[in-house]
Amino acid sequence: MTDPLLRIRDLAVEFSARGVVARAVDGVDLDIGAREIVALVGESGSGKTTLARTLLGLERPTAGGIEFDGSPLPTTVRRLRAYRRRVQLVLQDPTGSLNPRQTVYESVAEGIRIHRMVAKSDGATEIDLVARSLTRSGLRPPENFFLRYPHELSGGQRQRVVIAGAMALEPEVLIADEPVSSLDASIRGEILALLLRLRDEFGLTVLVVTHDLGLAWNIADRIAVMYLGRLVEHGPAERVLSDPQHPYTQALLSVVPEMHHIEPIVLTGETPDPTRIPGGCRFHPRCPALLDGRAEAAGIADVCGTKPMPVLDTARGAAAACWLANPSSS
Amino acid sequence: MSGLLEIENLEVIYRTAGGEIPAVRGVDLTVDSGESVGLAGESGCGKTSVASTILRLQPSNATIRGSVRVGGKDVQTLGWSGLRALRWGEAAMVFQGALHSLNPVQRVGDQIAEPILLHDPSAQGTVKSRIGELLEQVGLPAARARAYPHQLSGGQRQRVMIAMALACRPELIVADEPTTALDVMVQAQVLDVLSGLVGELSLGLLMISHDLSVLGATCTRVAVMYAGRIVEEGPATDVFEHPLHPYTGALSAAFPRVGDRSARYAPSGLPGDPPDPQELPSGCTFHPRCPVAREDCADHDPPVRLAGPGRPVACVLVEEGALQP
Repeated sequence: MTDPLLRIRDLAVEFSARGVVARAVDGVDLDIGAREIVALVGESGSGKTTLARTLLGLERPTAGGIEFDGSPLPTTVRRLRAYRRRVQLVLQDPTGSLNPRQTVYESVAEGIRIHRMVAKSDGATEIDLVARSLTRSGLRPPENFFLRYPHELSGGQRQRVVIAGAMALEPEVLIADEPVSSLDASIRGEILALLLRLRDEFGLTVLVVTHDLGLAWNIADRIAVMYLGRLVEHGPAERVLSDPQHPYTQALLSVVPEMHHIEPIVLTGETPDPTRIPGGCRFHPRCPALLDGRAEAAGIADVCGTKPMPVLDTARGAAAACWLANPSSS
Repeated sequence: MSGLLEIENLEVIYRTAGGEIPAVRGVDLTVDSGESVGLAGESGCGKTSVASTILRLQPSNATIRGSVRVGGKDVQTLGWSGLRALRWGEAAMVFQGALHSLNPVQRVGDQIAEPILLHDPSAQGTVKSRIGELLEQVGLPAARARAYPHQLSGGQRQRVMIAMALACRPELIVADEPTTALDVMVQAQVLDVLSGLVGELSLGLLMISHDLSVLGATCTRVAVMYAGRIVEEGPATDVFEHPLHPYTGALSAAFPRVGDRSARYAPSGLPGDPPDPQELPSGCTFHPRCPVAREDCADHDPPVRLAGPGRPVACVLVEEGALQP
């Protein structure tokens, strides 16, 4: 791989309250190359949203670091502002992201004014820039949308306005946190197709944070699966989804409702709270491979409960943080 | 034969300052005991309006035509005492947002007790053990009765909502998007609980969702709604895997099968948005978004025809008896 656009190394983000420390992100290595679409997959409580917020400079890492385009993430207000133009965020709920009393034009123009995009462009006016980004996001003809308010739009149109607001700043990276999970089924494909088109036309790099493996299959080049603050499996999307190595990824894939041809592995309980990360492999208390004796048969059952997994090395093509998948290293 | 829930030619019309909104335009649907039926469709298609009429929970500006019968009784003409006995006792509802449906300052056990004691004030002595039993039925330890909603996770709260719905031993459960806000693993757990209950208690379940894949995996039969009408109905796996109506086809393709190469870098969706019920397109209401629409689709609203036994479809391209060998 050529130099990655975003390089995450040994990242940890902790939150503490009343002496209790929650390790939301607890050792993550991940590189994201230019023009790549990477899906960060995990359930609630896996730390995926904290990781995304840290990438935007909204949370400070406790340890480790993030490099963007070869230099560490800025910390001063002025530099952060410049950085945030280049790395934009799209959230799950477009209704919550838009000001209900602002027209579509105002919503899109706000970022253009803050970042003085008109001065940076070659002779385009503010209206040109707003119209251009609405068109790029599939709202055509743009003039028809200028004076509309969010409540006059459908859910899919609102999400397009949010994406237009982000694209108006000509970012290099788009971080999309569950971009379609609040949208209707028929709209979902259209928004995903838009993300693919923005990558093809403008060389955009996309990090999609999601719990939806179907979405990852639809658009992602690479997948990183996160559990309780760490990546447990990583690799090219086709490889991870057609032949998952980690028992957690296998279970996640088996409960996707479309997959009724495989026996569902429904895990008991829920992701533990990040203030009490289990010792040994952090997945071992819920691991189906330990329950059904596969770990025992491989002679690693003791190791699972005692020896912590090293941080997943994502520099290799595909990898899984499981003693079962890497018997030699246990 | 009379079903547990029988909806016949149901119409729901909302009177608003901007005129009348026909949200439901002639829906027929039945659910029998021990059967789980899915109602699929996008926001605004009228599926929640249908659900609200089953417990007569529709807003006061709604006009209802047609009939809704639960256990043979017409819900819309029932007297107040009959209606009280119906709600919780014969039919109960599980709503989407469990966090907003539970009282944040009351222990969940006390909230489950409320409908039980309302229906049978003499149950005071046995209510505690009944709550424990209900919680265990949905896979929660009986001790969780002492928890407040904020101490539970999203999946646990949804289980509490299901336990509450079961409190008065209803025969019919109406679940409106019961897993929409949940993660896949928790969704699988909650769906397991629901389908287990249908089998064990021989309940009738009407499950409403925009996610056809969830209904396909949980229900025995699925009906697909578009713009206030059912456009296709049939056995769940048939509808999901071999859809006949182009709209069902689009809904089904929206959730790709992981591993299906044709879906890689090709997310599938439908252009356009669901129609505004006040300005319904002429002819077939789906024609402006239909990938295979013919010219005459704008003129004639296609009647519902039986493509096969138990397989009604409303599309000109699907002939009567099309599924017969």
